[in-house]
Amino acid sequence: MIGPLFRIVLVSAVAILAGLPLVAPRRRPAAGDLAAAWTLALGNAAVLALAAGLLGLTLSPVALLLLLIAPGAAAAVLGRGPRHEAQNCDPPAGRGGGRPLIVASSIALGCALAALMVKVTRVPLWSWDHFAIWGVKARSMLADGHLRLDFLRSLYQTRTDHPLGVPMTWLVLTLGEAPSPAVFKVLHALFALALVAVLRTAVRRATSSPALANAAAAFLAVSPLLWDSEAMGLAEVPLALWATVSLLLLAADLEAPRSRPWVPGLALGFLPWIKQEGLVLGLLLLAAALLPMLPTLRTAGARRGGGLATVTAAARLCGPALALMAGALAIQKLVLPPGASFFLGDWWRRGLDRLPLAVDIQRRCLSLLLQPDWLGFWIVLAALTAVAAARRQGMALALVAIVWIQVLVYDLTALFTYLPPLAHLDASFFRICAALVPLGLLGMAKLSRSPI
Amino acid sequence: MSDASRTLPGRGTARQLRAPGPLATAAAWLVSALVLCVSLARTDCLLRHPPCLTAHGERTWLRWAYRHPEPQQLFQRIGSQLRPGEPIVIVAAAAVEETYWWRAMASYFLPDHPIAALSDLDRRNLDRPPRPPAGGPAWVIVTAAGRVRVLRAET
Repeated sequence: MIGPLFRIVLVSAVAILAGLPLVAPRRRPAAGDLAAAWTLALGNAAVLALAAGLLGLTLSPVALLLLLIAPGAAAAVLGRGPRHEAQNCDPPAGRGGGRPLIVASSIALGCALAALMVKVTRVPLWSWDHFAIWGVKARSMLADGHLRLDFLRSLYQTRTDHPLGVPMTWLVLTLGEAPSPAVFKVLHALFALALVAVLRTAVRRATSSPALANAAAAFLAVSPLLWDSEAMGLAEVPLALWATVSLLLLAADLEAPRSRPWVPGLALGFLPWIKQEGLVLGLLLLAAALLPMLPTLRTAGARRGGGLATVTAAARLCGPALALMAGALAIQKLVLPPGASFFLGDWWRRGLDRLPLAVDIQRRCLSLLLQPDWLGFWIVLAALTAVAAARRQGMALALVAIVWIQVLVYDLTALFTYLPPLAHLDASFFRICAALVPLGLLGMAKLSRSPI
Repeated sequence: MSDASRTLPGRGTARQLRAPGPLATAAAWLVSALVLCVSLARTDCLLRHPPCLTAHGERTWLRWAYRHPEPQQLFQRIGSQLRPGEPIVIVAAAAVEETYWWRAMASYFLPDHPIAALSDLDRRNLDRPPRPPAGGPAWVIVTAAGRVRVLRAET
């Protein structure tokens, strides 16, 4: 266990150093920046490693470390950012609630994280999808440094066409060594802590309230996404992490004196490498990121230069994101063995035939979202969505709308897939909705404050 | 977010934000208190023997997915008795009914040992185990207590 742990610590340290030039160039990073740097560097390395592996190159530990360092090193060398930026983009702390509230929320966060770590330690790795889909790929896809995907054809009842980004990210962290169940638990804990840190920083920057940031992070730690041990060794926590990192980086880019929209573009583009639903989520987040540019585009006729700059900026954001998304789709369609696609057969006819079941499907979704495990999250989100719509709070409304659209996509998927719809919902709806909790929390936090 | 945002007020400087209102402050108090209570109650529950696992996925799927406790140790015992790359037939109670479980776990823990077949273990014949055919795969007999015995054809 010591060997793998040492590797994970080494790779994590390198990933943070390699990611910082991308995430927080030349400024003192907050904890969330360190977590975002770690996340972004690992995602980039996973994409490069998969590409190199498919080209037949050997993925030795040294090669994996080089792939981890390469994007950050290139950014550090080529970057021409200002010498000094704001210390860490954190706005000054607000006065609401005062020190007692900050202390209370810090204690709540500490207790929630302590409970989470106790749970990760005491609970076995048991999730079926880990053994049948995600874990088995991480344990078999690298042999002596060579990427081999032929084993996918011999797996029993797996999802052969699911993306390989998460298994490859785990392998980057272990420098190519097949992780044991104990190592998978360590990796899950790392992803969970990174997600909590990123959300805390994102809420802190959106609201300037450390108490709200602590409270949101603490709630995330007790939410089903992190508390339910079913998520251990699966891809929901990574999906939530990359989505939240994208939002943190998009917001940071808005504040930075020198815009580098391709950095959040890289994080957004990695979403379909994690899970298939990451494609829809990535496109929705990309569309929301373009919203602030619309007013400039409308006035582009009046100011030719402003319009050109906006189009350039949009291209610098969308270019890397869409290229990565296309890459994920290309690997799924051209490289991976065809799996039993959820939309197998005449899905349109199936959807029409199931229309009479639509009410039952909605009722089942609603009942799953009203389970006490959520601690009232979806009820509060629904109420605050109405408030945001009434107040027309742009970005907050866009964010909570993305959450609801994604829920609707999961809901409608049950209508069309080859699986029995209610059984399909029972199997996964609760779990995949849990990955949207951090986005919903950030949207709610944005509602609490709005720019003057 | 974009170069276009340079035209917006505030690029490069922290935006001026309204202070959180009393509702947001109350919400932060409420969420902190809720999380504190939930965490303490759950930790107490977790530290019991055995720990109570009551989250939604755990209530719904744990028994189904984790039907044989400690699969890692079980498959380590099996793997330690196998020759490199050797194909196997798994003989265990209700193995045919639980084909998905045995095949998925074997792919995960013993990726180099293809499963040739699965067979139900007949408790009545435990004293007279089956005789594997010559040249065929090794037979891995797993008892309900988790004991493992590997049989090969006499060579």
